[in-house]
Amino acid sequence: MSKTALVVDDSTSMRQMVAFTLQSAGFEVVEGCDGKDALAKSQGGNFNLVVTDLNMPNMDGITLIKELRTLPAFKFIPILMLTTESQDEKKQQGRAAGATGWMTKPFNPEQLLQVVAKVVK
Amino acid sequence: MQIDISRFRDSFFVEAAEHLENMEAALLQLEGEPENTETLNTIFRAAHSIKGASTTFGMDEVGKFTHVLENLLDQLREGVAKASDQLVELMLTSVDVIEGLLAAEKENADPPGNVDEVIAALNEAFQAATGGQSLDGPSGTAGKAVEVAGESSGETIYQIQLLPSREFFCFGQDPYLLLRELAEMGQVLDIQVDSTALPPLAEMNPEHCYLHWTIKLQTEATEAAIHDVFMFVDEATRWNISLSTDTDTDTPKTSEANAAEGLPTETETDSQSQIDQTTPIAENTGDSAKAKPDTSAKSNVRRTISAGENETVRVDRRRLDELINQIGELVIGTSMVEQDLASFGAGRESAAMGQLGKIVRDLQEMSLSLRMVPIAATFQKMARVVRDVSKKLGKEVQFITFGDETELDKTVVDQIGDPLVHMVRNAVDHGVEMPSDRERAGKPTAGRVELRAFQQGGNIYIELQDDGKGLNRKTLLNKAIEKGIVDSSENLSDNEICNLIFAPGFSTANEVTDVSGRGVGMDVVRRNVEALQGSVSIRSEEGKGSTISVRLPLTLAILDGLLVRLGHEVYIIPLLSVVESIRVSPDQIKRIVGVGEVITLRGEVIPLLRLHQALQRGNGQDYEDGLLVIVEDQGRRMALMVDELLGQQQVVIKNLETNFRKVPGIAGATILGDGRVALIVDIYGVSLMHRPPANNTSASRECMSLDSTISCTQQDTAEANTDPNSLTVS
Repeated sequence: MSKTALVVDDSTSMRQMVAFTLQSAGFEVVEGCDGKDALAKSQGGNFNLVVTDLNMPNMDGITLIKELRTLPAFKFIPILMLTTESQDEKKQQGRAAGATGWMTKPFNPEQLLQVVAKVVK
Repeated sequence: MQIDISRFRDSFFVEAAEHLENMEAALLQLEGEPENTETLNTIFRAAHSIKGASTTFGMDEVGKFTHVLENLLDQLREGVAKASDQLVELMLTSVDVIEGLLAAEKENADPPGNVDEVIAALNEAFQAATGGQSLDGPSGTAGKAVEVAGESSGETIYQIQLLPSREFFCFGQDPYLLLRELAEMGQVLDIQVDSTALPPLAEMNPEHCYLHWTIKLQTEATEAAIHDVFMFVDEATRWNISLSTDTDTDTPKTSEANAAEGLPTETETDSQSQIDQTTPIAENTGDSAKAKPDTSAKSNVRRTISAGENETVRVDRRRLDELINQIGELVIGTSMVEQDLASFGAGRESAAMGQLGKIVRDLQEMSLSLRMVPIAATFQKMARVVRDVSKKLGKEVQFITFGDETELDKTVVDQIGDPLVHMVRNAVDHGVEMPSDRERAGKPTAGRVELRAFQQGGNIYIELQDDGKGLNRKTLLNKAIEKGIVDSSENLSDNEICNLIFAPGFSTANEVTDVSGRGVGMDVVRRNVEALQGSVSIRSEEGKGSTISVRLPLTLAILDGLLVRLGHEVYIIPLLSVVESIRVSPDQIKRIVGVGEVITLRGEVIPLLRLHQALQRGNGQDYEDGLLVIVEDQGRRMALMVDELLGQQQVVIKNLETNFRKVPGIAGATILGDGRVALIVDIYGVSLMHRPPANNTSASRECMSLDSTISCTQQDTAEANTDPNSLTVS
């Protein structure tokens, strides 16, 4: 059974890049363009991984992580956040919200897959 | 595995352009309300997104610059600094710089020259805001990768203790994954689980982690690399790493999880070397077959709610053009079949054919609508122009737009930007007066510039109205005479005088300013608009202001045409230009020296042009049998003599220039239902052919505007007729 990932980023190119990378590693990918959109798309789905940006309109990544962690289906799912080197504080907030790990931008597909391998069975 | 991400660069450029647009709009908004946090957040987010993606796609220069800008924005957002006018100005300049940097990346061009200067200014502003706190330098390095390698000092045996927190699982963590990763680093000599913390079953929370592990690992990896394994564990989780040699009594070191940021990496972010900008996003094969459509994206435009809710798909421009082109061919093909069918005899036109024809036309209409985009983005750019120009000149201008949502063909939208900039600059520079002058004239100190777009018939109108000083007829006329554009003896209508500003080489500014350039702008505007098969005109009332009206076709792909016959050839006259068609008796056609032939229609004198002569085709029939098609271009009427009217048809425009060369008087070509090629008449171009030589200008003007002159020149007609080619002199 293939794994499904929820990829959330308001930047289309970043989202496509992450989605494409995960797809090439055998993931089914559901894309969300912001926290709100992702939360709506998370309903009823069976996900094995969430990759989310932090800075997004409508609902930011931290709120999304918090919201997802309250859902039974997402309680134990690895959630990776995409941060930049200037966002140390955000990263701490993300971790407190229940993020599993993070990727620091910029990153390349190989790095992403290495991190994913770290948190997905 | 090497994954090529260069295919996403195009996508990034489009997205970055959108971000910059949003940034610019928000910055202009910020100027009015410098403390609006939502606006500040929008700007910050845009900068942040550009930074993140640009560095990922290897555009370090863009990343570096945006980083500096972001630092400053952060201060504004935190309320440490205030968005003063100078700061907004600086940030607007920064938007331009980013645009330039992106263009440089896209086209392999030189970056803008003022990058360092603007970076310095941003840094200075940042330091001023933070009271001299120095800025952490822009980090252009790709990621802070942790050194993994180190000196390999043979294999070491480590004893690793893992003490997960109770809530370990709730962070999406899994001890199995950590143990597996450790095992992959070398050889696990021993693994023990400590279950002493396990409570009685009744008290156990199945979601909690109660177990601890101790692993003996023989590995070449360094201690730092082992620490890296635990980089993501939550803060309450502890782990110890010690050397396991019995003699060595290294004290276990407890580590905080976030020792390292980033990842061990051996691969460089260098897939950008294979940039292929011509590759459309989804064209790459491989995994894209099983991939979901990855182009779906919600519009990033947040200014209007409706736009934000529209789910959109990005499609490569060339593909869209190709689709529209192919559907055009389909339309032609269908009408060929239709004609073939009809040639078998009456009654053979089946209902199915009619049905097919309808579907094809609907399809064509739909395909054309795919390329329609709102003019809002272009209008928004004008807000910036108004702002910059008015600031520079010390004028106050209120800029208002209407009909932002009006849709035009993308091709038209792309090309109307520059002419509009010229127009807007001119309106602010030459139109709107200085505040003091306005006050004296009893007007509000702030000028008002209004930009409107609306659809009327098959045309889109863009109107630019200002409430400035308007055009001074006398100055205009004097200048035109001085420049030799018109003759002093000409009797021009008010309207004609106003429209002189579109004449080549005409400048209204008394001095050349660096704002409106050398005043050649309006001439260029007219040419650009005409290149789009549109027209431009101005209405002006002195002291009250001017309105420039630009008429543009809805689309450049199809045209409603009137099919006319000239000899054995079929020509197409754009239906929009056609006023009426009439048959005249020979004695109604007069010839005027230096002007050519004219007819009088309901008291109006209209120049007459024998189309076959103008286009230099022979064997046109005698005018006795000829028909006149009255056409209008920018308010000027003209009668075109043709042999026969064949009907009315929507035709697909094929560019003649790209396939052949530019032909005077011809706007393009099309393929008719029977497979024949027909040329489309360029009304404006043809009208120029009727223009008499410059030294005879006065005569023409008089004849065209004064009925009385006709009678006295009639006797010349017969004589002049001996030279039929005089008509084509332009």
